[in-house]
Amino acid sequence: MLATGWNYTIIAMAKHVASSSGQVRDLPWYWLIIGTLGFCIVLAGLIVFFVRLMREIRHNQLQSMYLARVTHELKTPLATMELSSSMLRGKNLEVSEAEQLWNSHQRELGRLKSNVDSLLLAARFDAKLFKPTRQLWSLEDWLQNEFGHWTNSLGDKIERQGPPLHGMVFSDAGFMKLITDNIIENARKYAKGTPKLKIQTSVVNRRGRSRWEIQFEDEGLGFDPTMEKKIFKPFVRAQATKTRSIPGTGLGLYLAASAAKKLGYRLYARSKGLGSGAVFVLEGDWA
Amino acid sequence: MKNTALLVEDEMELAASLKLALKKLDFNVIHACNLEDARKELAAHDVRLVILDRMLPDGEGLDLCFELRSAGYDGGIVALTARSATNEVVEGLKAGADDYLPKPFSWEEFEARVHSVLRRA
Repeated sequence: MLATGWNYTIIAMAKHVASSSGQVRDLPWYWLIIGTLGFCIVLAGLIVFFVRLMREIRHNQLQSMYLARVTHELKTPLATMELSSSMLRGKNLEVSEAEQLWNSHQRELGRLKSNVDSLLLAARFDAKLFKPTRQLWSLEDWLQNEFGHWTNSLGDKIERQGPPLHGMVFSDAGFMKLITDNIIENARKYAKGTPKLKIQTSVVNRRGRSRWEIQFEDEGLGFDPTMEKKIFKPFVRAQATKTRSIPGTGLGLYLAASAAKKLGYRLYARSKGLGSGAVFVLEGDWA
Repeated sequence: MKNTALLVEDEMELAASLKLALKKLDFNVIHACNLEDARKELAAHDVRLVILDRMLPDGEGLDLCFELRSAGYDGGIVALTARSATNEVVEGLKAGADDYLPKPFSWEEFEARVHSVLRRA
């Protein structure tokens, strides 16, 4: 309808010009094309303007969310530390109370350090300053070593299934650790009670190429299937947090995804929905 | 008889330190991690002081503040928050908070503010 209206306007203008010059003649056919093109250009301009406006609004919302979360994540541990240290300094406390405050102070110091590290790391990834240093190493040896660390972190509720991943990879072990540690930490944070994790290794074939695959299956809160890609964006919280707050900057999975991208690996996640747990899959090439 | 304080704070480490701080100020302390639990505790106890965090898992702490004042609650309310811009402080005071304590804060400041609020409440 808009296009028809636009064309009638153009035609009417052209007829008016023709009439005022004293000669009424048939409208040349190219006026219709000019009108249609003009309309398309205006419409395209409006669409581009609208899309940019929406992007700008979304960007501002994300920035505001980022600032609120970062402020909260930095100031809350600082508040605990300042309160506990000032109480330790000036208050008559029983030994158990002093111990409680000191332990709380130390835990929050650790949290603050971790938050600052995550923010700096994310900034380095964003600025493209962080590049992998690749070396040749055995994936199975690395996995066995890391499995020990994960067991320390999650206790005995972690099990490994599938064949050993014998073979060499040309990769950066630090980047690999960054990816897997953030997945494990995610499973720990979003666990319903004691965290449980199943690690499934396999060798898969993708377009005639053999690739290794590590799946991390947790029994945590999971996420809505529509959030499969969004959970790897910074500051996104896909999980319901109705009953408690979950500490962290919301950067863990973003860092994991950024590191996987730098290595040329594929990292994706799936879940049947909130309350159903989640599966994170890391897939990469052999050397 | 001791006064009762309701602490509404979802950050466990900070809540533990605040509980101890309030006990040292001779309060009976009830702790709620979210607005829903806070409403239940307020209905069940005679609360003289509410220490209220703003960013809670199920909503904005100031909504509870506004609800309490609308219902005629005349005890003290101290809003705790990481947000300390002038407009945010004004927003908190307009919602009915007696004082607005930006994070981080020391024990001395917390003690002084709680006493000040109780004098006025």
